[in-house]
Amino acid sequence: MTVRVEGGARGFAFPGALLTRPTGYANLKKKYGRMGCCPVRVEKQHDGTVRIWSENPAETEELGVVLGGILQPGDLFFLSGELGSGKTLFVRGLTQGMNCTELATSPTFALVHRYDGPLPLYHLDLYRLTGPEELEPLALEEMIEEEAALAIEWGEPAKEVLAAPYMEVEFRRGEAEDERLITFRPAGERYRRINHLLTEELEKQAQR
Amino acid sequence: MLILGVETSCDETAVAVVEDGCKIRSNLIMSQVDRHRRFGGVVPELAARCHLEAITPLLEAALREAGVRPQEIGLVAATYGPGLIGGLLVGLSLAKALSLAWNVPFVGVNHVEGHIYANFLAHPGLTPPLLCLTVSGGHTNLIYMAEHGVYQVLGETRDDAAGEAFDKVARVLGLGYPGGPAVDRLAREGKPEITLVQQDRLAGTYDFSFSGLKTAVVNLVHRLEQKGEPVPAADLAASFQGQVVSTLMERTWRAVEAYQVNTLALSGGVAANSELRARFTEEAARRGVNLYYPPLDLCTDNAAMVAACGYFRWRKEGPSPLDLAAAPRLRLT
Repeated sequence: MTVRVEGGARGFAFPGALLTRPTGYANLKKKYGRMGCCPVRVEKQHDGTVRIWSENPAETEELGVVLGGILQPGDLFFLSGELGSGKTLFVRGLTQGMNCTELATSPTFALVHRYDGPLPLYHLDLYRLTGPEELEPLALEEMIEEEAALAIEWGEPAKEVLAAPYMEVEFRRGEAEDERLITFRPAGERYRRINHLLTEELEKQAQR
Repeated sequence: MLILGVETSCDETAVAVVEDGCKIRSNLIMSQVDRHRRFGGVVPELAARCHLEAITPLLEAALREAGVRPQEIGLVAATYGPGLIGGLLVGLSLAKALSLAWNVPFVGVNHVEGHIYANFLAHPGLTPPLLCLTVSGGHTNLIYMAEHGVYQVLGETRDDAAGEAFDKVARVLGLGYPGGPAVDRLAREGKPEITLVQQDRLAGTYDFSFSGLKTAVVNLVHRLEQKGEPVPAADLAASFQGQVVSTLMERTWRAVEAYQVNTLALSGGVAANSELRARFTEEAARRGVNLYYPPLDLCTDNAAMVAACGYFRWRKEGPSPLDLAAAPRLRLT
């Protein structure tokens, strides 16, 4: 049985969201296994910025799972951070949390991957682009109009083109080798609200 | 029969004419490098526009080089996925238009399946069943081919493709692009003695993960730079390459045993890696398995493999419908 949700926790109308897992999910879970636990060190700042310390790759992925559960159509995330800092792993978590039919793999070669699910996700890596003029054929606006969520790595040129509020997620190396400091900087009320929900959910998970 | 092949799934624009699915009459590729040279300037390498600009002159050149008039073409094949939507649409639309204009059948080809057929082009005696390891910048697949058109994907990458990991490690070591040949060259001067990843967390599966290996290289370089110590680039290249090849070897030879095949084919750009070729060749000889790999120009993206694959597809299943849509995330089934 599927249950339709009329309004999400964020107060947006979210018709069509399915509470049940899509059929492929059980197999995916069997194939890929469940990852570790959520990051527990979370710091909220006055301007709405949230800093999260991830101790290992499994926590980074799980953070994506939690965020994936609260995404809405049109959500736009820019991910920055050097090679190997966990950007794609985080998006892999997103696809899990969003109940997509496939888990994310690196989009570096193809530039764009689209993941189907109750809410589709576009995952882009614009590293290989040499200028904003090369964005045009990617038709970013259409992705947003399609009521999907977007996660864009190396997305500087796209920020100007899209001219929409977004969340900046920065991945930085921590003190320990596997540790990462992940900073969520919201641009606009919509993204401050996401940060609020995200920290709430992380606190809930930490208490379990 | 003469088959026209069209490949536009990523950066390369390619057109080829192939006879009876196995004889190459022409095989033209317009890569970014060529483009810069021919047009005498920097051309945006990724735009679908570039495919659009390149494809008609390339089509004419491919026919000319093959010594073929349009009315002699009997089948038009084009990649319809996986790949970048803008590029796919250019090649697919051209192929459909030619099919209508020339009144010949059209067939859509899966790019990953096309890579397997590079081996059928290079080795006309090759017959399934076989196992194929495709390793390139965008794909890492271990595929069991039971017969023409019948596949089982045993394993694929869960994060970065093998070639992509080479490119990224090359970037970290400051070796430039493309990373594969650069790491290969440098690795010959180094010792593969640095353990980068302790544990194979996908042991027992046929899947691959190269992201952890890449991150281990990045972490090590970062740590040494912070301490102000020199980075042993050659040893790192040798260790990284050695561990990539070891993973590919372990999965592949385990599958060769499990599926009891005595034919193994390699394809994709990484199949040109010297250590990979040497170690697979040695192991194949030891086990008495027939090993095949295509020459370099058929390892990397090309349209001849698309024509060859399209020919076998068409013989087995007939033409594709003209409303076949581009499929950026197409899977091989």
